[in-house]
Amino acid sequence: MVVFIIRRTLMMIPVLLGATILCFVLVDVSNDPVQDRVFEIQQSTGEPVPQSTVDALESAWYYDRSVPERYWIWLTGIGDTNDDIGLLQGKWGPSIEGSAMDIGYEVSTRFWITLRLVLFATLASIGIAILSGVVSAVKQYSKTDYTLTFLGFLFLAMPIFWLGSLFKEGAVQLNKLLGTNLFQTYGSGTTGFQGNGWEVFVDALPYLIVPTLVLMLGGYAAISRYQRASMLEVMNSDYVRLARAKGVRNRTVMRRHALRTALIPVATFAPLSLSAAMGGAIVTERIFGWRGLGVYSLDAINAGDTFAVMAYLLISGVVVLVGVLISDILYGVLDPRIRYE
Amino acid sequence: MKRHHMAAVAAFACTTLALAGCGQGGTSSSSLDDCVEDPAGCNTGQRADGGEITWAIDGSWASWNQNTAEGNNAYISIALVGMWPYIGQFDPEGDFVVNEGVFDAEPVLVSEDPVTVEYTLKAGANWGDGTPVTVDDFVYNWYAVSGDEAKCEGCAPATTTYGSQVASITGEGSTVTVAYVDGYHSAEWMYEEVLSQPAHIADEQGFDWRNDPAAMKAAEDYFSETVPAWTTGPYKVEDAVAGDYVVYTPNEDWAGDTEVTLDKITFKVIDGLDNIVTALRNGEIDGSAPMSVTSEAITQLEGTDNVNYAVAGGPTWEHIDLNTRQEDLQDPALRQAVLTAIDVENIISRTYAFVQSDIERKGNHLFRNGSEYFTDYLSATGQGSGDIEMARGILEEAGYTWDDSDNLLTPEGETVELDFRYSESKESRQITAELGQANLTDLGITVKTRAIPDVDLGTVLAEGDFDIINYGWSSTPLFVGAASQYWESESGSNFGGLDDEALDGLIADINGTLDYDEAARRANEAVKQVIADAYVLPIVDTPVAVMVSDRLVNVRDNWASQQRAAYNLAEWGLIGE
Repeated sequence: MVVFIIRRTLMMIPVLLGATILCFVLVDVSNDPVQDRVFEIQQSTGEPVPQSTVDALESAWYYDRSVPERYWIWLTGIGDTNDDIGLLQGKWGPSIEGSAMDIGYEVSTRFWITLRLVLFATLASIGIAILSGVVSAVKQYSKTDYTLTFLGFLFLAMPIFWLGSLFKEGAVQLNKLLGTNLFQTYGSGTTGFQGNGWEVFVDALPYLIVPTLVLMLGGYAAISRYQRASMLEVMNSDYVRLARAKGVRNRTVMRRHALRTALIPVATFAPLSLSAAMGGAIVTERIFGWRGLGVYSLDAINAGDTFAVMAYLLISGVVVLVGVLISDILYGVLDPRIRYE
Repeated sequence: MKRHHMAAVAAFACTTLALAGCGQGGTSSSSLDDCVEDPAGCNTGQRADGGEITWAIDGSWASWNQNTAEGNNAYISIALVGMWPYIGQFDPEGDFVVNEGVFDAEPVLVSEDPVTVEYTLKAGANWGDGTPVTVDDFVYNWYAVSGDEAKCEGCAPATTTYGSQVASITGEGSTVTVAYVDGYHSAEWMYEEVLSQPAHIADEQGFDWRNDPAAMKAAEDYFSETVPAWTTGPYKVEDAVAGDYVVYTPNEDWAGDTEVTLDKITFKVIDGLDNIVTALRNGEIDGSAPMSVTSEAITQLEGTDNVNYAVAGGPTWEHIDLNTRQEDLQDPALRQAVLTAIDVENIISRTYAFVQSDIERKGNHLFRNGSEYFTDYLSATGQGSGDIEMARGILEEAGYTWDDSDNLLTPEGETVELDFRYSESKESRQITAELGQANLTDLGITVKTRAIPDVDLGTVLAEGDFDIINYGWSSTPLFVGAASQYWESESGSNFGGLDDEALDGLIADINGTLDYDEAARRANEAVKQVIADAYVLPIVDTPVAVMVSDRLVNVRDNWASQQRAAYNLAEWGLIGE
């Protein structure tokens, strides 16, 4: 097992390197942030931007170098730098957004913001998915099964941006109806609120409810179908029939024999689902104004902020690869038929 | 009109038809309706003592230093309005009001050759920590925006228009004198921004900025990265996160005369007009003056109790530019015909009029309709009239012909094909391009519309990757620098590459007088020349909205200030009994 983990971990390095090269080139060639910034300044000041300022921007953002040179400097920090770049030296590089924007600090704080949003939603969606999948399977072709199947496909078919907007409007109307401010529609907490972990959590609750619901409903449907299929397969297996033939009570058969085995695919799927959601909550974060990793990546891509995009890519890439690794390990732990050499 | 043009217009119109008579929503006792007649005095009211409000800003920032290229944008300008040492503000009528917390009176021109301006500091003007504003602060600002490596090594100021022209700054008591270099003759000398950061804090941080250009740069970096604890304004920053929020509480040491009543103002970034309107309807914010407005947003505001809103021309103006570097458009006759064939009134009625019913076509490139210097030089030329016959006449006279399929042929017998570019996220610009395409098709010109991703607009302009383009420029009461920036042949912002010696001469003339009225007269001469060059076709001052909870008074929009509605922050308050 240890050898397997080490081998898989080492294999992540070339995968990540390849992803960074591809991403760096794509972002870099698709934007010219210096020109865009110059235009923005002209719009703001109503005055021409001096060439010395343009040169200084190019130098500060390393746009006076070639793309390969810029990538090398970003990765290693070796060369003529402003001492603010070099991943291997723990420096993420300058953000074109401004010097008050520290990329390392941004991605680390935003990681936790996204995790807070995604963790609850993913756990809730997995819980509901297991429940509805099992009920659907046990009551196959009943009205309950059809209803749950309909709801599953309904939420699966709804685009998140639409579902999010719908729930947001619903929250506003509900607040109006109840004469309260139970639901907040923008942000992840009261502006400037400070406190201990519990206080921050309580403060965040009005902001957490609606986006969590949206992410949960958007995510549960697929897992639910997965769970239903898995449960049906197990229920039709020989050892479950044997248990029933031996007179074991139906509830015991379901809980001890069928469900435990049917949970294996979902259990192995869960870490992957969580890690994928970490990078995939962009739409929900945008709609509800959560300043998480997803929004950060979107803004960085739009602005052509190459080093910020690279930081996002690394964080989300590592999270996904770790998720895959945990999934693989769980599979071996839960399913005795699988052994790692 | 072709079917797809009709479809685009219909899609825009069908969601907005009911709003043609947009106006005031809610049941507020105070009124933004009066802003049409009394732009600087509308929504005025008695204020209650105390109260907390939240104001949404529709964009973010990532630096605290507006001197720098990376730190200068409209949003940080709004976020820091409570503490920044501006020279003053233009009110919504375009009248200049000096910063009452820093200056005792308007600057005075004490010499014309060389231009020398005297500033009188207000008694008690300080940086919020008791340290007075002094001549050192003027010098610090000069060094920071000088663009001179000997003063600030490696600095990237957003503009050096002021800093590069200063020869010396001296001070005695509360009087500070700024002397400019020979050749500086701007009629807008009064409005130069002469202060930015506190010199004494740079000193306290150990930056020897007076003697060491590298230390000056380090001081500028420090101010870029540090949330300002200092203030010269009516409020001081209590808490802030770059690009997210700024929380203000009253500055007890403010030297201004206006009484501040609010206990707390939070400026909070909310991305997107829809999110702002929803947050306002849900009571999460008390107001906002976003940079865009849609008919959908107005529909929602219409149905919201306790919210007032007003729509008016904002701080940018829309225009259609031609690229004179494009082979066919090098011919002034073709440019004249193109601008004549485009029907501006039709464009306005199918776009901007849906959000602002009283909107007017913009008749002057430099002066806003209603300005004392405004004269409509455009209408008489036929540019923007959509008069196809007139446009054909211009072309026939220049030797153009049409083939059997009514395609326009140049005197050399070539067909004319142009592209029309626009920002993809702006529906009004897309419709403008499609209507322009339809107009020019009637003239026999093949036009292809091409969208521009928003972030690439600067690149497209800088590279001249367009034949015809619709975009916006900022619109302020200041005009001396604008003509030079837009049209001077060497200007980096002369994106269509117009090269007209006569126009360059007129632009130089604008910069050659200290008399504001005379400068305006000369600016109008430049406008006439640029119209003769058939280079830029103004459309409208872009409509924007201010939306405010009816519990707020003295809050109104201001097109003439970069800070928009926040220009008079000290006067904001909750409505009194």
